[in-house]
Amino acid sequence: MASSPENIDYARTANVATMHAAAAREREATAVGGTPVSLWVVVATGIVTIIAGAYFGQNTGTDSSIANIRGYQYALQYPEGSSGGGAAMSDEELRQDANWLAAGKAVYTGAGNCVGCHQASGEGVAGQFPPLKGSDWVTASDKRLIAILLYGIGGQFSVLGKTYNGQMPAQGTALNNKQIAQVASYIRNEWGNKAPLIYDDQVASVKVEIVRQASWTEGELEAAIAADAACVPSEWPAKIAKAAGGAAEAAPAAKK
Amino acid sequence: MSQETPSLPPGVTPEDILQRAAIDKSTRLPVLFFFTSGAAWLLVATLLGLLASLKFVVTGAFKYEVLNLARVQPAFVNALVYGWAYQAGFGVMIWIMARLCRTELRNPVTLIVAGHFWNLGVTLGVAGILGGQGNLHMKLLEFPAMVWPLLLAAYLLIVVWLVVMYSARRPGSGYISQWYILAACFTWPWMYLVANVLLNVFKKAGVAGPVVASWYANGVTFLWMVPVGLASAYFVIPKITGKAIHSYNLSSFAFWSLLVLAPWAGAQELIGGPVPAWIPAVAGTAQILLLIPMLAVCLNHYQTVRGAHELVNVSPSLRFTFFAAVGYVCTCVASAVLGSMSLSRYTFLSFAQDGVMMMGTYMFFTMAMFGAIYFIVPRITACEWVSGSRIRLHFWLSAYAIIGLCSLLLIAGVSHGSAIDEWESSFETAVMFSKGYLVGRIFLWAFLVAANFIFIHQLVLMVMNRGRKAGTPTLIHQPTPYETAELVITTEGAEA
Repeated sequence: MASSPENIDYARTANVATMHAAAAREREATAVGGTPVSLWVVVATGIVTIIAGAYFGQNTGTDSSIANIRGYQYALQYPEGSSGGGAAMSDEELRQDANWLAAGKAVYTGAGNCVGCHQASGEGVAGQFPPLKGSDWVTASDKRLIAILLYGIGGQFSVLGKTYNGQMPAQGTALNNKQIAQVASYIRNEWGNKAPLIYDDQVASVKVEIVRQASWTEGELEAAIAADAACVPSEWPAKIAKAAGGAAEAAPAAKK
Repeated sequence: MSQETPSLPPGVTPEDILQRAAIDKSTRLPVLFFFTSGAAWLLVATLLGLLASLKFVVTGAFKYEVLNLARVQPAFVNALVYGWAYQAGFGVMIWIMARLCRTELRNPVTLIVAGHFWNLGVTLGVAGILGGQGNLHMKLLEFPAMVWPLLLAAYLLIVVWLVVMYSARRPGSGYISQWYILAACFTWPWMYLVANVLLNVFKKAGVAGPVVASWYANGVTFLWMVPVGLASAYFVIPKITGKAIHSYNLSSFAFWSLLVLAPWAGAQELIGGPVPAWIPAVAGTAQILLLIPMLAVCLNHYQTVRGAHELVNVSPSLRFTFFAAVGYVCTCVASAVLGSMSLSRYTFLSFAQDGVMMMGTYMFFTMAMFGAIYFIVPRITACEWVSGSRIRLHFWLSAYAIIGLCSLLLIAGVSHGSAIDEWESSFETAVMFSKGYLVGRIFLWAFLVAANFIFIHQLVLMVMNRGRKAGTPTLIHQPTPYETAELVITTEGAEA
């Protein structure tokens, strides 16, 4: 090593051959060998493919019919009022308690909606998805419930004394105001829950009042909306009553 | 290795050397820009990672809204991926592409401008996450919605020159690394555009949202990091061993099977979730089939290095690249196994998914980038790395920490996940199960921080032209006389 060119400042030497010592000692690398693919590669590929096929079979069940992949049938966009019980119904009829709740149930059990996690029983899945049955989050503040539905909630939060940690996706982009109001009304009046119905104009008012990108955390939600905060009253009960009154007046008139 | 008569390697003419030197000079500024700003983000990311692992155990520490764990964790992951991994990847892509196409880079300034926009985007994104503006429910898409057009535009502005270089390449200069780099040029903008248009523009995704998000997050690993990391490995291995890549056919098979299979994978992590069963089933199947390109690449690289394994001890580039290859195997196997129904029951929503993310991003990709950087930087700065023993320390600290971290996260994930799976126990109890591992994780993060300080210090010395001014390469350790004899015979003086 005695004659090795140590301590030469390459930035200052004019000798190109030594200046680019790093480039000079490098090999050519663009040649590629032409060895054919060995039989073992084919065998290994076959084995992996068989394992993958077994996996696919296991996870799609023994039913290989098209029905098994019909899970894809849910639409990405819900047509306006699709869960509203038919176009023949007037706005006021749709918002009568029984119709409104039935529409809410349709939204709740719709493929890919609430029922997947919170279950048909409304009891959720222990340790993973919180219950709706008997939960204050559902029955106490209508405003808070709408806010959760619109923007989702994540991180740790406690329901009925148990702590959950998960992520409820925001529904405000997938469901329209009517559907959110319907499903909120439904979960407030099912499984023994009892609370006033919610109407779409209330959802719209919360949407205007609270605009968020991220989903809630429990702390943020509690800070933003008190446990007894109420939405602005809906105009619908009055309209429904008026329509019903009108119908009642009309009925005797028809009898004449 | 004697330098008494600096004879040229076989098949290399003095004109070749001048051409290499000219290419190296033309790429110097953008490549160093991406390496140094990437390294700065690496430091930010590791510090955020250390903070996140600390907060998992000492829950009361740093009680500021900005440093909320739910924000620090995604800020760390995004800084690591978009700040460090992508920028290191840009530097490696530019340099390798220019060298392989044998064309000088004609527009270093455009690349640097695009690089500034990229950094601006990442800064806004990370700050947005910490400030509470992020989309925290979508993995690797957590940046606030305003950032994505900026990142996409900057990316396109960078890769368009790679495509231009490729189309202007000298005849007869086609090579495997170029395929992979070109693939990476196109895959990421495609995935990023699709994911953001669906999730941030139309906002109608609903339940399809998690499917798209998991597809994208998996694609970042398998359609971007894997191509770029393999491009680097396919370049570095033959350069250092002096041997041609074992088989062209095998390389081509591995490349196309990766590109065909990887876009199907990703959604297997939603198995058992509220999505149609066929989506995770197809994704999990593709993820298992992705073992095929992995096996083909491994066989190819193994056969190429065979007979020159001593060089892994000596050459920093080859040692990091070799470690990255092991990381690639681990990532593929872990991703395939964790998709299985029986196991995902225990790993769903647990630390195990973080473990696989760290495997792909750090154990594979980051280590591959270190290997490439140790190779490239001496060429573009005209000085040599300061100290082989510091490179050795960087390697061992990184290797020890990342192996430890990934295994801890996987084991903790399974124990944490099976505790979650107990119907009667609360989430808090489940976290307690993994507490011991989480304490260990803090120490491993500290190692990682130390390793990256060493790396960045070395890199800064190189950039400031304070490296060794000698024509001899900096090796991890001086080969013993016996090894020298062996190496000279097998490789005729190839080096780091």
